Amino acid sequence: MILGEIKARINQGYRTIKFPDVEPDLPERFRGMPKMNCKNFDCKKCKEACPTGAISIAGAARDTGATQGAGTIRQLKLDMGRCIFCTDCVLACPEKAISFTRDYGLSANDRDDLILKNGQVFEPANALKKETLRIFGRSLKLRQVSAGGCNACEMDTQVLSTVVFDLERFGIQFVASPRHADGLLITGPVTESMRLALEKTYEAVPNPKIVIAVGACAISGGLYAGHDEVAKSGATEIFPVDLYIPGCPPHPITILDGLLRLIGKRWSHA
Amino acid sequence: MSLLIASLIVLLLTGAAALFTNSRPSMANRIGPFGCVLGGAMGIVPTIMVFFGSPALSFKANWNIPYGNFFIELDALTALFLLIIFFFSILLAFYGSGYLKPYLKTRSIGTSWFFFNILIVSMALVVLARNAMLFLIAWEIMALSSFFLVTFEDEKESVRRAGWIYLVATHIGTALLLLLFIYLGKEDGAMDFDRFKVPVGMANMLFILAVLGFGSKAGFMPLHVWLPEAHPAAPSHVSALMSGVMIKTGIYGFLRIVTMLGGPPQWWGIVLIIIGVTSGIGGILFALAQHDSKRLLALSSVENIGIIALGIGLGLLGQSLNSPVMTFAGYGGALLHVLNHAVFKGLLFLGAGVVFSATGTREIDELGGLMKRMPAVGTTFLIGATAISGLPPLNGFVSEFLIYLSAFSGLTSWNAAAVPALITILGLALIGGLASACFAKIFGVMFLGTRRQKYDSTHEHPVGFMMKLPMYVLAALCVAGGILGPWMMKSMESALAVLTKLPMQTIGDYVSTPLLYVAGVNITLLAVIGLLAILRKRLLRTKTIGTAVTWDCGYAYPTSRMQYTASSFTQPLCGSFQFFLRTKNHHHEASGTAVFATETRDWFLDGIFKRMFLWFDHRLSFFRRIQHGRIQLYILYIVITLLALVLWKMRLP
Repeated sequence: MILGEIKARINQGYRTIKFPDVEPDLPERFRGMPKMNCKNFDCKKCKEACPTGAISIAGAARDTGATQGAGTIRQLKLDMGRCIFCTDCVLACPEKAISFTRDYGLSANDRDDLILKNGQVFEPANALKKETLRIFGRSLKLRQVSAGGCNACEMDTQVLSTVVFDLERFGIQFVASPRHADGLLITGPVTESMRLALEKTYEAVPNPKIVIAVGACAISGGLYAGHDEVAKSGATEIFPVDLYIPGCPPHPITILDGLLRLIGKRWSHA
Repeated sequence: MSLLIASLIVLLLTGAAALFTNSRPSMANRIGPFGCVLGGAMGIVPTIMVFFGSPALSFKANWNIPYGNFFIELDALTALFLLIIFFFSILLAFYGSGYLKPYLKTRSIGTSWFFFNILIVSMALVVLARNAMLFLIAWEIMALSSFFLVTFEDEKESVRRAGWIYLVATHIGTALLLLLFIYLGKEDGAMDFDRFKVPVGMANMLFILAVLGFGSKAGFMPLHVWLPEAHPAAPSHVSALMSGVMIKTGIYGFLRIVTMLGGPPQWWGIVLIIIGVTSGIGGILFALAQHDSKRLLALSSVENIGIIALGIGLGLLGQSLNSPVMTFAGYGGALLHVLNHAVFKGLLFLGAGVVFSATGTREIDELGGLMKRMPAVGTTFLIGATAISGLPPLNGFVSEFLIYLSAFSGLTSWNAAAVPALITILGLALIGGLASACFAKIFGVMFLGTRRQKYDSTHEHPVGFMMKLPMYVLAALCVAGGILGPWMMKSMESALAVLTKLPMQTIGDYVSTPLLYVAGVNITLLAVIGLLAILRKRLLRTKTIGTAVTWDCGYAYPTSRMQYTASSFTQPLCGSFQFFLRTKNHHHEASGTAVFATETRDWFLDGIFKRMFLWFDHRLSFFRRIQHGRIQLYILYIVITLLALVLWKMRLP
């Protein structure tokens, strides 16, 4: 029995990826950072096609009425916190102005940073403040709460603990009790049924603590935003969030990239 | 000696005075304890002097009872036991006066103190007596006065039943003792201990009589059945006295008689080791399964008597094998454990009594979270629980260490001692582990967590300082006993000399070095604990400390019923010993709430003794024909007997 297991283990060899030193081998169909190059702001086809209302057009004719001020910047905005990376907008755009790149670094510290503006550069997440970083930089224990999630984000989070990603080599670990944790990693749109449990878990984490929201649901409610039984805008509504990791679900590399940025082990686009 | 006799008289007189002031309970509740304190203080002075090496004192007076002699002697062995008796007399007087306060209007307090004082006098006489008649009379008074103390709340059916079982058990023991003394005195026609002679070839039979007769008082398994019934029924200061002190008179009597029986053969020691292992493991297993705090403590007394028996067994074995280390460490461990058990078991019973006073329940599954309400009581209880589990750095560790030492010295050579010593080591290790689990359970369920249900507030009484003071004293002794091990042993040398009849000088050498190491380890441990406490305080000084509810996994409707109960905490352990414990599971649904409960009855009582007595009842029903309650007939019997005796006497030349 145990000999068989050891043999299997030897056969498997070394599986852990070299990330972050070596760029990850991403799948062909991977969808990363959206890129917009829109010129016709009156078209709105993409906005209508978006199932989560992630796309908005500032200064559009209908929004501002007939009186367009000269100073108004007309631009297309895409909220990654809402985006489910479904490519409906890509298909809807007659000018092929929207595309998804293979850039996996999507995490941000600020909710507003997630709103991509036409032609502007994305501001990726920074490390924690000096004092907090001193405490969590080398050892960060997280309690994961699935607040009504569909298990996609959860699976992509859980997979980080496997040999392939080996999260623990960075000092990050998922723990069973919030009493042992330094922060929460929340997935799911925060349904009414899970709201109290989530709040109690947050209370149970000792100070100082951080909150990480993973996936469109936890950040904004995602597909479920506006439903009676979920929080208005995911976990963002309830707690101050320190790290947003968008995606539906985010790729494990995206999550890992966000976590590493948070603890100061990665600071620029690779 | 006169001070000692005066102290007994003071105890008697104040007891009587308490009885006569029964109509003024608050007065009686002062006179009784006052007598205990005064009498105890007077008696403890000569006791301590003899205990620390003064020559033995004795006193003889003529007595009209046939074969009777008022012959008492205070030697070192007696002094050890007398020290416990008088010390507890003083301590429990404080506690008892506080404990009985709520009962002032409803119970006859004077009677209770009368029997309490009588019990102390009779116990003192039991250990002092050097005449079989005096011994047996004191023994009987001790049994009866404690019977009346047990049946304090005699309107309860369970209390009457407990008293009845106790009375039967103690008299079976007394009957065997009577036989024992008759055999011992037969040779010389005298009942004084110093004139006892062992009839040729009878030593083994007398040994068995002593084991059974004294064992029923001490609580050797399976003669322990009265302990878990009687001790919970009695008021707490009486339970402490009975469990901490009175059952030790059984140990005393056994030791006293065994020294008269001459050099022990090997199997005597082996018998006691088997009894010790059975009582120890059986007692603590039954204790583990209980939910009644005082019943649990009573069964743990059976366990501790088992440990004492192990020590005595090793001592006997050592004597028969001429192994002085084994002898001294064995007897020494047993005697030290007698002392230590009195201290921590007294402490725990007083703690259980305080909790009962404060909450009105002994059911530990109804308690919880008491540490927040009574931190001082909780801390002292924790000290007692640690000590009784035999953990360093407290006193229980020292005496169990001595017994281990004795057993390991038996292991070093391959002779008759090897197997019993191995059994002792394994048994004692199992006992220690189970005891730790048992006392983790009772402390955790009672004092930690959160309050389980609303206590019946009509039973709640404030706990006064008078009740807490004895607990502080005993807790301090638990700590002191861990450090002062070598010196305790040194002062017990004269008592050991009485037991082993060997010169005192050699005794100390065998055990003093290992004991010094133990004391060193204990002091280091205490220092480390203290340093850690200081360090923690310093580190937390600059931090904010918050309090929050226990982590409930985010559950929406947590209730206090979700805590570990006494049954669930010990389920894994009790489950693996189910073949012995025979626990029954009960579950029923009451108004939508499912209730699960376990019940572990003493199958020795139900399965063996009840059946045995029913069988006797059935077989002996024939005698009902001549014993059916008509007083005229009884008078006729007496007349016939007298006539027969007169005729017999006249016929003789």
